[in-house]
Amino acid sequence: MVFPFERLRDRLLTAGVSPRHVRRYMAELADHFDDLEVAAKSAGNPRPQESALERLGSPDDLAQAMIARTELKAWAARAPWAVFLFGPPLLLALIDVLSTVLMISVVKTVGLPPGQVAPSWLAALAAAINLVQIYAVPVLLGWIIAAVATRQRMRPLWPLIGLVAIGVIAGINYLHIDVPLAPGQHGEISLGGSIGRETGFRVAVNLILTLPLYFAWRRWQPAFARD
Amino acid sequence: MPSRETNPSFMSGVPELLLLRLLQDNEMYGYELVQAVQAQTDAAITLGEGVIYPVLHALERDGALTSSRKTVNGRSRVYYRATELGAQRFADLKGNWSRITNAVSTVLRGAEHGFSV
Repeated sequence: MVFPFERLRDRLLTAGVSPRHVRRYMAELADHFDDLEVAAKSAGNPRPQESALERLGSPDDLAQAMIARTELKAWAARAPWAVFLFGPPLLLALIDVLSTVLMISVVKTVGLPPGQVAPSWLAALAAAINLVQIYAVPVLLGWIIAAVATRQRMRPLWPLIGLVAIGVIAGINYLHIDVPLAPGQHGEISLGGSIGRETGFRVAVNLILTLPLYFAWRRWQPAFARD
Repeated sequence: MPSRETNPSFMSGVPELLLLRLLQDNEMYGYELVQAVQAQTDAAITLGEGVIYPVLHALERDGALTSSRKTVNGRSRVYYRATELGAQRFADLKGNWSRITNAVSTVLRGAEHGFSV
């Protein structure tokens, strides 16, 4: 007889217990089970595993003891609206601010006089930030939502709301850095929201690169595959 | 072998009290703690062995315990120890427990001497 650790793990995660506590609980139970088995063998018990299982507690008791501790629940379970709906846009805003501060700091450090052409590495940095901001950041935020939701065995409602919300908001969000590429030009950092021809394309790209991945992860997750 | 049955409502808070007491002096891991409780109570109190971990995790989250992973004899284990906050919490729980047991004892002594309600 083997203790159904995987089932217990899935049950705890589905009930909203923080993955950190679930991981440690499983490790501690496995160690405890080994100690009980060794003790039963030393005592000459002919069925050490059964004895160890009985002393460890039934899977129901072990699950209930953890689930009843609401303080050990993950934020994703306690406040899914905050984690999936408000968290990613706030993170996006923070990344916007940090990118802007980074670019301003670099330009100030370089001491580029007005009207002078930016060095090629500065133009490359600005282009990289623009590209990352438009395509990489929204997809990365979507993948984070998908990973957190799958890890926590979440029902799909809040993760899907979060994925669509960040896909749309990141599609509208606009951060663009221009550096002077010819004499007399000036640099500019534009930050805000923009709905134009590109918006629909960007939203579609965001959703195409995140939603299928979320469903695939969810499908491959053993807990969901067993359902 | 002692019965594994407990009265959950009456025993509420008792595991926490016992664990905090045992962890005042030594750092211990789960299996050690269960053995210590059984030894020190002469097996009068038998905790569900696996269910002590949620209590330990909750106490740690509240700052009453700290934990550290150590490898001893080739086995990696999580050791727990009470903090200052844990010592304070233990003192509070002990005070409450003493008041309750004194009150119950008073009632029982009254019953022995023909006290009626």
